Amino acid sequence: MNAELVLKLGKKIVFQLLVLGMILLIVLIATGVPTNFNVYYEYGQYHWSMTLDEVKISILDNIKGFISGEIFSVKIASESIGIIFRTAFVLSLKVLLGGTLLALALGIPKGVLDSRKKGQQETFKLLQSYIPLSIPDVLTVGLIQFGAIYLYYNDMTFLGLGPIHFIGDESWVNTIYPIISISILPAAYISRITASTIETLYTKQYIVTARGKGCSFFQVLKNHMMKNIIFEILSSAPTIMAMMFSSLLIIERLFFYRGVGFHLIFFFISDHFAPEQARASLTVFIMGLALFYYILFLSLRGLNAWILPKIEER
Amino acid sequence: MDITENRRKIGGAMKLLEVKNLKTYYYVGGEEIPAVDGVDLSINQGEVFALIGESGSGKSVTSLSIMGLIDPPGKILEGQIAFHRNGVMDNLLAKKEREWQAIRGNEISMIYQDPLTSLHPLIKVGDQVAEVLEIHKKMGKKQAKREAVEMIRRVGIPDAEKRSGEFPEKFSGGMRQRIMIAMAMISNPRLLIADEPTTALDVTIQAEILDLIKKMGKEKNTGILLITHDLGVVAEMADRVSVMYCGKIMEEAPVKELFRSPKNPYTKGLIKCIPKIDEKKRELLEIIEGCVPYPTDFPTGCRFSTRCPNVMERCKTELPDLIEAVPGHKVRCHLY
Repeated sequence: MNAELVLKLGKKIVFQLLVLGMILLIVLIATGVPTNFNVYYEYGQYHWSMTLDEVKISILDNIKGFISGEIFSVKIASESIGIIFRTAFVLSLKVLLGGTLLALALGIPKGVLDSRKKGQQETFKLLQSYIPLSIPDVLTVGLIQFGAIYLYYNDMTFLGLGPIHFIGDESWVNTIYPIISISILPAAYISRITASTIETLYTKQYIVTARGKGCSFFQVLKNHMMKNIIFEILSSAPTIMAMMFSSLLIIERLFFYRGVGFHLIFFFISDHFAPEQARASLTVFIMGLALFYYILFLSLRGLNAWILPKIEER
Repeated sequence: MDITENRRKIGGAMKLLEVKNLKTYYYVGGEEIPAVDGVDLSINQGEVFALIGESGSGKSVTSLSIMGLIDPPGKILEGQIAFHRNGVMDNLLAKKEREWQAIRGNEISMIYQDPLTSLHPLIKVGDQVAEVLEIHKKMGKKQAKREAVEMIRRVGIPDAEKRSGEFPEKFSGGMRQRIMIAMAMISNPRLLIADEPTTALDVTIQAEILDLIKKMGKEKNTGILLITHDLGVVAEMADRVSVMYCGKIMEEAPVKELFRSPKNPYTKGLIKCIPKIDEKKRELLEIIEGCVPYPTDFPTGCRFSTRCPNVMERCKTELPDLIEAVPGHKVRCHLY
């Protein structure tokens, strides 16, 4: 590595750390505001439920608590927030990872099929993938949950696993519906990327050469196109990841799946917890989710910025 | 080597490929484009058969039709492509895609015009050559790779072992075309289609590539269909030649006969266009007047009638047949 590259890389890292620091600070300020803080309008005047000094102290306490790590030891329902977060994070990770794998497993073959249907109308082909992309997340998840409820109450088995309860996270089978829900949108997106990449590649001279060598469609696909398809999917990975994170909150809430997204909302809106507990949990879950998202996003952006252009050059 | 010599050498002419009345049309924007319109040609084993013509005359579409690589909006409407296999002339147009795949790259191989875009940029060249053996000879990866390295060495790439592990970006145009030749010849095909193999190359290496194709073809007694617009290449390489214009064969003859006594005005025009460096008098280069008609606007009569210096009224309305003017020399012209 030469000095110029190290300097360039160093500058980028420092800049990204500054951005991250700013985001975390904003989040800490926002979550530091007491949950019982309120502004109301009465007799022609605005009134605050507490003084600005009280709000300021609460924000500072929040920042200090997070930096010192004390916030993780705050107990909620006999468990510390740190432990709850760790358990929730593993559950969410399962859904995200499973969803990514399922989206790839569904999206790539669907894209291949789309690209092969030569006789079909182009608009119809596009609609097959654009419909899931244009339907709101909550409706897609709602429909899947409706199906899950129907199967459960009619004692019908799903994937040979017996009736699966439509909410909860007690067993690994409860992960199935959230995984399916989170994968629909990215699968549609991946299928479009795959189909358009294949259609573009099919006119390339090196694909004609491969066919001229006697490669079957699947050999062409496996040996000559898959690298390009994966390259295109990786280029779009930050967008796909953003889609999945936004869906995660809705999915976990609707399926009562106690991951990070679920707890983020649950502790905050529940009346069973003290404002300090709600504030601490909100801070930990938002910060955890933001950090995880940021690290993942940054890694994918790094991949896009440094590695993929080198492959593209070739 | 003329065709008679060639026939004697291989113990009598064995027809390798026979194309009859091949029609490949394209359908673009509701219009019909007759890219190849009733082409007849035949190639014998070990023979170098050249197909010449201007850009857009249908040479490459003819070669892609023989390879079975015509994709929509193109379509082979009618005709016959008979290839000598298992002792009989087998009509390739009646084959299913799976049967085509067993022939492509194995019995019929192709070298393409542009070596810069013909190799996959993300696959090592050795793997690209070895893939042919993996597909057709069912070889394991290691053995196929060994054979590929040997083939790459044979086409004149130094340090073949090391270079076979490199990506195409590390190779010059000439080197890439050598890789393409290695890829085409590794399965010992009986017919090699070389579609303008030197067009995209530097003039200094064109001769090397042509020599290599000729040498490799001779070694294995491979029939070669050489597609080019360069009459110099034809004179150097071919045994027989067909001249194509607007999707039709205008003339077909042994190469010496064609250069000695061209019959079709289009062929005469093409030969006149060759610059002569030995001429003492400085003269303007000859050209064929006019332009190639747009494919949807071909004349109803002779395709060359709009540019022909000997055009007659009959030429404008009546398409001449391809007739044998003298033995072995066919021409499509109302003058004969």
